[in-house]
Amino acid sequence: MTMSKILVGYYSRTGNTKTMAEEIAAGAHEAGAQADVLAVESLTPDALLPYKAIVLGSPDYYGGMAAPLKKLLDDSVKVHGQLAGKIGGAFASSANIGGGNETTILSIIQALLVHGMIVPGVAAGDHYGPVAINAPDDRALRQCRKYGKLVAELAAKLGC
Amino acid sequence: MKKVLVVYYSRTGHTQEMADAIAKGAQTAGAQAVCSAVQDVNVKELVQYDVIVIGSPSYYGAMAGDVKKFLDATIAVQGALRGKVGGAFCSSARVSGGNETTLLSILHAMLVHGMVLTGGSATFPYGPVAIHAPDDTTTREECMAYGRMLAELAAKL
Repeated sequence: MTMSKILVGYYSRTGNTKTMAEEIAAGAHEAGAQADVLAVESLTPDALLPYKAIVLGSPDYYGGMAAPLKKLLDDSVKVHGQLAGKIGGAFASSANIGGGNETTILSIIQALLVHGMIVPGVAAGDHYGPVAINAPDDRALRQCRKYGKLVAELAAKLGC
Repeated sequence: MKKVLVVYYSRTGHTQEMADAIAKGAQTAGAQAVCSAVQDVNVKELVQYDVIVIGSPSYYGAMAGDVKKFLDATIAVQGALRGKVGGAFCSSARVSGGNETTLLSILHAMLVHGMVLTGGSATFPYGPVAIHAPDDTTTREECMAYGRMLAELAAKL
């Protein structure tokens, strides 16, 4: 079986979301996948194509994703149709409990569904995707690792 | 053979017609599909299915109370639906009547169950929708395509 290629794209100013991205990649790696961790500013829509799973993370800005990530998703219309059937996921970090982590994650997941991507939920844990409050604590890091593993295992099952 | 359950709440019959088309679509992919009104489904039955699709009219921008009551009761099988394929469909009285917000309110609950969702096609990214009766062939075809897509995903998993 070929190794699944997973992209963990993030936008991070403080480094908190980046730390989460790295932990998600570590989880995917644990499950036997190859994972790249890249800042969204360095990504283009075409750069998304080689990956079988794309997980995107953002800090929570006004209850939604940060503008640079929104811009990447807006630009991804260029590859619309070519991401269908890939696995998608999302994660977020916020300064406050109740700061909008879940609405941020859902705003990303909605875009992934518009692409026709396949999105797993999490039965026990952070249901829509991992969240952190400020610097990710042990709990958040565990959720990230578990999520990376879940995404990688789903990719493997779908023969990616 | 994959087992598909299409659950609906319908007062006018519109959502039920959509459910029938989704089930038919799933059958074209070789799945066994059952349609049931939400009032007739016991949450314990859900564990037997590989695909669970839930449809509701849009009431105040979200699912009907009967569907929410059903989803609230699924706490009895929390953890046991993990990895199953989930989907949603909706009918509304008007364009901008809340079809998408209704679909998302159902899909959110499925993510909490750890179910696997898929985006639909360009014309119905969150799931098929109808305005009033799904009387045009497009909506019926979209429902069938969605049923087929969900059954095919389950077969791959």
